[in-house]
Amino acid sequence: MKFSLLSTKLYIPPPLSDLVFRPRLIEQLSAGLKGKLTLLSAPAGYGKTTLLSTWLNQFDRPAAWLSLDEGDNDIARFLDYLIAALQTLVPECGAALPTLHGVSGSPPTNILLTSLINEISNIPQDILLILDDYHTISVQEIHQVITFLLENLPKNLHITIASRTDPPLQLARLRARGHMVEIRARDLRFTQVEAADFLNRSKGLELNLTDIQTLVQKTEGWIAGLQLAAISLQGYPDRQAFVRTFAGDDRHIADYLFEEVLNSLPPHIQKFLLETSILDRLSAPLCQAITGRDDSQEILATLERANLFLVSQDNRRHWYRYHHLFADLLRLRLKREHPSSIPTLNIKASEWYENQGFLNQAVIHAIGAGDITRVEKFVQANTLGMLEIGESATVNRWLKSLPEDVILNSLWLTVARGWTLMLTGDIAAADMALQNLETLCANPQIDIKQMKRAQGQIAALRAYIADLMGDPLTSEALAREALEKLSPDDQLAIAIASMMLATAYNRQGDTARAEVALQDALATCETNPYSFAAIDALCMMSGIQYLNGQLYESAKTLKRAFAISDENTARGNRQFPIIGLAHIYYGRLLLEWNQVDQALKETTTGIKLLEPCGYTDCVIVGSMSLSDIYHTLGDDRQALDAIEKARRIARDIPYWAGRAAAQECWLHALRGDSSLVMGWLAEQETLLSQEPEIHHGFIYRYLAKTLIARENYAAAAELLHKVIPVTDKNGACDRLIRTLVLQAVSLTGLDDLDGALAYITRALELAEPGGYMRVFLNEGEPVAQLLYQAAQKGIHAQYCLRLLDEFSKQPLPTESTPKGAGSLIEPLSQREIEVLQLVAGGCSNQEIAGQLVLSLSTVKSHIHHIFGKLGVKNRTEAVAKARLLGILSLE
Amino acid sequence: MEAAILQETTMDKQANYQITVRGILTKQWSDWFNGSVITLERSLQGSPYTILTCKVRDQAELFGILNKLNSLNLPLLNVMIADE
Repeated sequence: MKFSLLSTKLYIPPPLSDLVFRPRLIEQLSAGLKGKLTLLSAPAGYGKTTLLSTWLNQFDRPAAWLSLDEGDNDIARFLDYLIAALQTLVPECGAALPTLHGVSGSPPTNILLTSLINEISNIPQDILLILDDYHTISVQEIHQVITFLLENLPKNLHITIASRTDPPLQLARLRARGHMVEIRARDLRFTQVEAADFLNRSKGLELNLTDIQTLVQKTEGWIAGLQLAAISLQGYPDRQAFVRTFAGDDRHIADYLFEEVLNSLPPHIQKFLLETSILDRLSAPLCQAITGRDDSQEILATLERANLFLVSQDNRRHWYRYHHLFADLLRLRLKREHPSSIPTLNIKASEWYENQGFLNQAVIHAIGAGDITRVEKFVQANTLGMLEIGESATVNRWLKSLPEDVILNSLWLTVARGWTLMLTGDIAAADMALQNLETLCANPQIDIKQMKRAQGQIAALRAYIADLMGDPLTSEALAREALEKLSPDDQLAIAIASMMLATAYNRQGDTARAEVALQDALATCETNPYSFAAIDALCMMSGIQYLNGQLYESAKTLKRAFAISDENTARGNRQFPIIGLAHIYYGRLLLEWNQVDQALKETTTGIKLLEPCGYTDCVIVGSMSLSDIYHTLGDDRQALDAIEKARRIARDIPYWAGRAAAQECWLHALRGDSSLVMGWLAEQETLLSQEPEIHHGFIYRYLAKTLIARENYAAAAELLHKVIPVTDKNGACDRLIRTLVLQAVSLTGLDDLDGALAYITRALELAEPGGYMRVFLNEGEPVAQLLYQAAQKGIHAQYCLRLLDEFSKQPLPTESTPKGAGSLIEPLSQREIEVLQLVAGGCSNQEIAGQLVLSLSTVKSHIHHIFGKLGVKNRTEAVAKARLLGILSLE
Repeated sequence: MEAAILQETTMDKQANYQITVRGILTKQWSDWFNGSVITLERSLQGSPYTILTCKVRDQAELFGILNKLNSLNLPLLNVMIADE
């Protein structure tokens, strides 16, 4: 997928040769530099672009130009182009910022914009940013970006916007504060003097004053109209007669003049214009492919010289486009007179673009030709590849430009839709697409090979859904089915299916099989340049190594992933946001090695990369990890925020929803909020009564941690006693270590110190190769004691001493026990005392909210904190304790 | 001047609209405006205007037509929803 067409969007149009001198407007533009924004708002054909290019040519300030079109209505793409435009002035600008691509849904981070703004303000010059054809932008997020830029505009940046309609950008405010200069139709239309200059001097028409007056009146100074008139006049011997006829004719000016102009051209040029009108951009080779004329280059040069609405797009006379209005009129003519030629012309264009490797244009023209088979062929061959490099917005656009029933009736288009929906995590919609596919596959007319290929991809999609639904067994079966049915032509799909298989094994705790499947996936990725899939597979591999307790190997694998990512960006490609997952995994390792600040940095970097792209499950993992890190740092507010966010995002994804809920409940348990916890514990009853299965391991551990937090050591010990053998059998070393440590804590709570020591010993043995630290540090005093004993007995003495050393370096957050009773570590705030007084008075939360004029959730939050600070679990205890401590009077 | 609203609609419903612009569009433009019926009228003062009667699928299509008229420099005189 090439991006060389990008340079045409950044190209500053050169000034015209027969320019009309418009000093008053040039002055206005220059004066406008004192403000923030210059807005040129006028319909097509008022010379906005020409004016800007003339002004830039005379003026000294460096300018970044961006010509916008409908295809830029994607926030990620827009920002990419914006940065690219700035890079024409300052090559390193924005280079360090993570590039966005892919799926819409999340708003762009203002953090990205703020960094960009800071970078711009560090540029030692004053610069201009020019956005041409801004009316093509309709996406609200992009308007928000521009508004943000304007509100936080660096002093050395001035923005100019040219548009056919007023953009929705708080113009009234800018106007009122004098921050904006506007140039509108009334300013841009030709005055008598300018028209005379244009018609007589530039065009050499030698018209008299009356004729000029008539023309100006008739066109109302509309420049495009006068241009068309001029061209017509040049071919007309009796100029006065033309002007008279023109003045008397009521038809729409463009209509009339366009006919005149076109009819005055030689037939072969007329044909050329009509045929090439289907193109967005013209180049000689492309025109030749469509028209069959080998003098295409000469014709284009002639058209440009004659100012026949051909605009060059670069300074090598390689790419052009027609002025929009002209193109519209040509297309209309073509549709009216030669409608049957339109599909053929589009196919020729599509074929040419395909040969040149311009996939997007090839598809657009195939759609324009109405050749659905051809569209399907492209989509089938390229969707996964496009998604891999983050071009899901493009694929979405293709699908959006097709009628719904066409997609629903097409096997491969529906498959493509399924994949794009998968990326956004829209399981429900993807499911619907898959159901539609089932119906389509029942069609006996489909070629057997095609059917099998499609079924392979469908199986892979369904494997993914099954995984998100928390059903690894089904996921495994479907992944296997996919591998069976996929054709060797679908290498990327094969890599994905292998990874799905690995994931399914992983979830079941079968890390050995998972690793084999991953090796297969990596092998496929290495024989093809599937950087994205390779990074994804390496992340998964490192995840498995982490599970096996091989922390150092896990870090090495992540470094491999970083290397691939760096190499990919060094080649000039956009960075894959999936590398964010590698950052998050690395953060997890750093946390375990007690490098907490570094862990925080890596994890936040990772989340920032992933969030705008809608990689939902990765963001969930990141947020859960972040919650752990904040908790370790003692910032429970942030810890709760992070885990609540994870739970919110995971709402519709059963696999993650359960885990996020478990982690969140445990945090609440630590703060003494029993209501939430009791509710959750009740929900887990069914789970507790069943035989433990390995893929519920996370929840069991957090169950145990919650029970320990509530000092219910007996229940915790019993639960862990059941879980440990299962964990042991399935060889997931990391999980085993954590469970063993928890059991040691439970047994300490039950005063079985020998038993506890035995478990700690086992844990130490498994943990030493990986250099585990936090799993011990997190449990605080009880574990410190055990380690001390172990060291004395010579059990992994070195390791124990190292751990004890870490213990001594930091204040011990006692994770497993709630804030103790006795004196208050943190006194109640005034507000909290007020709330507590009302509680003592028997008020409900609702009543308290009413009395203190607070929201219900604020009241609940205060009560939360009160319980936490007092170290109690309910209102009665809270009131009692508060009276005991003298916070409330004894009444 | 009070105009009676003849019909109600929503963002996604089909509707009929009458759009009046100053200037002339010949019937040949009908295709470009999604098959709208084009009729020409003259005002009392004698300057011409065009009425397009269009059936639109939804509001997005309506605004597409309005944008096209804008791109042709045709000042808008009236936009009115018509009876079914």
